[in-house]
Amino acid sequence: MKKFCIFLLVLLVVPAVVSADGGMKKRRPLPYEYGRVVINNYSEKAWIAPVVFDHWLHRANFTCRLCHVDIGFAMKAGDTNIKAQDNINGYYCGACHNGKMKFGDRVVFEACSKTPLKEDAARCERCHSLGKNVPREYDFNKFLEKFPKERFGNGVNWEKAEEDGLIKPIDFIEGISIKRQTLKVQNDLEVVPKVEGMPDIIFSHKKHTVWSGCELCHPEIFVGVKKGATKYSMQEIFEGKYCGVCHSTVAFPVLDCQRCHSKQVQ
Amino acid sequence: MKRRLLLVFMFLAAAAIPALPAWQRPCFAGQPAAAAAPDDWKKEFDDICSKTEVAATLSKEELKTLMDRCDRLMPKIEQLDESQRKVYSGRLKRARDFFFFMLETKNK
Repeated sequence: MKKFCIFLLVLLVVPAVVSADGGMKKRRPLPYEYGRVVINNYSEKAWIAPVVFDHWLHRANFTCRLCHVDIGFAMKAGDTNIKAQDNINGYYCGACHNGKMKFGDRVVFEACSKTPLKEDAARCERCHSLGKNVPREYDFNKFLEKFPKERFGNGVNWEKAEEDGLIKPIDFIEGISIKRQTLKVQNDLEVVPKVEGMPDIIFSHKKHTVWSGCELCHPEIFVGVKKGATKYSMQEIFEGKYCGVCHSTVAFPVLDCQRCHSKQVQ
Repeated sequence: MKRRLLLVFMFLAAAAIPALPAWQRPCFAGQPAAAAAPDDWKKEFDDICSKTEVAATLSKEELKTLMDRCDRLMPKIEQLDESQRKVYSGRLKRARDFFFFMLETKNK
């Protein structure tokens, strides 16, 4: 009887464990959560809440290149290995969040202090906010209410928002950025999908280089520059590789098929 | 006595050189640029990294020269404090990788 009970238990538990491992559906982030990065290299070890970074507020004001090339943030969460001391020294978040830089008519708050005082707690919590109910200075819905709508991601068509003049992302910060010559506009690239009947992808170099430059994508994300040099599948993109590095985290997600597969089918 | 005085004077003068601002210091022949002015690495860094946008228009030789300059600059950056080292070595590596990528493209 005992043996039978154990056998029954194994029979019930094993399939449940196996299906839980492979069959769990990933929760799609809500519009205000899309692009959120939690930074916890050292926070919990120092007994403070991890940092919650929302891309939407920063991408509305700055280009991808400014933060990921000029300031030096890695493209993969956790790879930058930011320490509070880096911010105090004026690098990474501290490059702008230094209590001196002006943005519009306001001073950008200081990110970290060497000797935080009790009265600094509210300021610390502006970033170190995971699991806390911290009132945000910028409300997602209010900030983006007049922006052109899109179905996925943040629910915003950022490209159109720039075309309409609603955002003017800053690409240069004195003392941090490098004066570069203007990039010659590259031709659009047509990528033929493997699946028959699927419209071709029209890849706009212009749209990508305006915000990202060259060295953000090449060679870290795309090894080959010539057409067809980098072979990749939709599955890999869904897994966050290639286009998926940005288009599953910050830029419009790949669920929005026709934004890439945009060539008219004859 | 005169010789001794001259020696003391020379010693004092040599000791005072590092206290002078970079632009007032004497430049000795064969001295590396970075030793003459500590911020020269930054100028070199800015100059190298400003070429990424035009890398596609550069010749193979120019790209190779840029990569060599990256390799020569990296040890100087490795000597900076931790924050600076993390930021600038990452940026320089990204630029070097891009020049190499452009060179490979041109070689194909």
